Amino acid sequence: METALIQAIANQKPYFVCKHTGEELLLVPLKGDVVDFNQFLTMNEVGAFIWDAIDSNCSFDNLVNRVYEEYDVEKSVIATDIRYFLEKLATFVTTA
Amino acid sequence: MKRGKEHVVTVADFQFKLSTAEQFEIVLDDGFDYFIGGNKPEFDCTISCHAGLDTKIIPTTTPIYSAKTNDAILWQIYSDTNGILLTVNNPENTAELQQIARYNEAEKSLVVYSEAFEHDGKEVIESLKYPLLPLLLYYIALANDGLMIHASGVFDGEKGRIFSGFSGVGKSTMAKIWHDAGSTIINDDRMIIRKIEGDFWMYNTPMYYSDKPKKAPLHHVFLPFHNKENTLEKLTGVKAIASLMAFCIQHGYSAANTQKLLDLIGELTKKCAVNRLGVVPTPAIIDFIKANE
Repeated sequence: METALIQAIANQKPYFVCKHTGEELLLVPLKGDVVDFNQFLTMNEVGAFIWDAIDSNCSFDNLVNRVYEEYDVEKSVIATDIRYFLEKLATFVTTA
Repeated sequence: MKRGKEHVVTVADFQFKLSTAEQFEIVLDDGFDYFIGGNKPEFDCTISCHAGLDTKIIPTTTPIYSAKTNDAILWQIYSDTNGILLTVNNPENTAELQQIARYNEAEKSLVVYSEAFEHDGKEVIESLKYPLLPLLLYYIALANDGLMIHASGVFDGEKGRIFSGFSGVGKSTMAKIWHDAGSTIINDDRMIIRKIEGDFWMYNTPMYYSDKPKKAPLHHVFLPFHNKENTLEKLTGVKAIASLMAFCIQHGYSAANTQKLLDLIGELTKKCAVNRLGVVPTPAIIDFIKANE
């Protein structure tokens, strides 16, 4: 399931433009006219880190390990949080 | 209407040269009256004007972007050999093709085809008939650290402020309140913002009515909404960028252009404070803004 989510997000990445500001990230869908704040996605530092790390070759375990190395939180907590984040992110990028 | 074989037009300090090698003259509507002329040594775009709509030059491929309202197509953009090709429909009758235009950004050139018509007993062409000029300005602005935005703008002699939002949020009302208090209205609907030597400037553009070209430095950005009391919330970071982006004119098919726009808005929000502004539309809003901005 996680692999499918990562793949779905990786496939949609080319259709978004990113703007890093400080530790936050803004995702803007490449569509005609972005007229609604709900069409954007803003992410905090950890969300931005995960977004940047995702590509089609990235595995869920790899993602968890990279976040663990960067933020030093229990792996089981990281795995639960990333799974939840991937679900939300996949829904956004496939429907924006 | 101004009529001639050649015109120089300056909008937002961008200079355009329109000319035709055909027997027709080019007309510009009253909105251009004060924008005609210019003294820069180079043109930001040379516009070659032709009579007749040769639909055979429209690519058979799918447009890369279509601007629609409800089910009507306002204009479409196609990939073209050396840039883009635009087909623009008459906004009052969208079934009628009004212009075909080929834009080459590298060569700073636009070739416009439109039907000739009779004006004061002469056959003329109106190559920049609305909305082609705003479409061209979008690309020219983006290529030169600029953007187009739905906003009204006022200058009180010291500070420039814009009020950005869609129809009904009170852009024109705010402009009138500041005007009544002695400020200059730069425009009350659509503006160009440019970054020049690190500072941001706002400009008006030709409208359907006659108005002089105006520019002023920009210091504060407000996103007004109707409210029971005057309120102000300062926006920062990605929230400021996203909020402002929503009111910028965008043809979001191009990642490069969207990135350019995002980066420019990012710089703008660092230089000019962005505020969400709850408004009770009375003159008291002026003192409220000055005390809280």
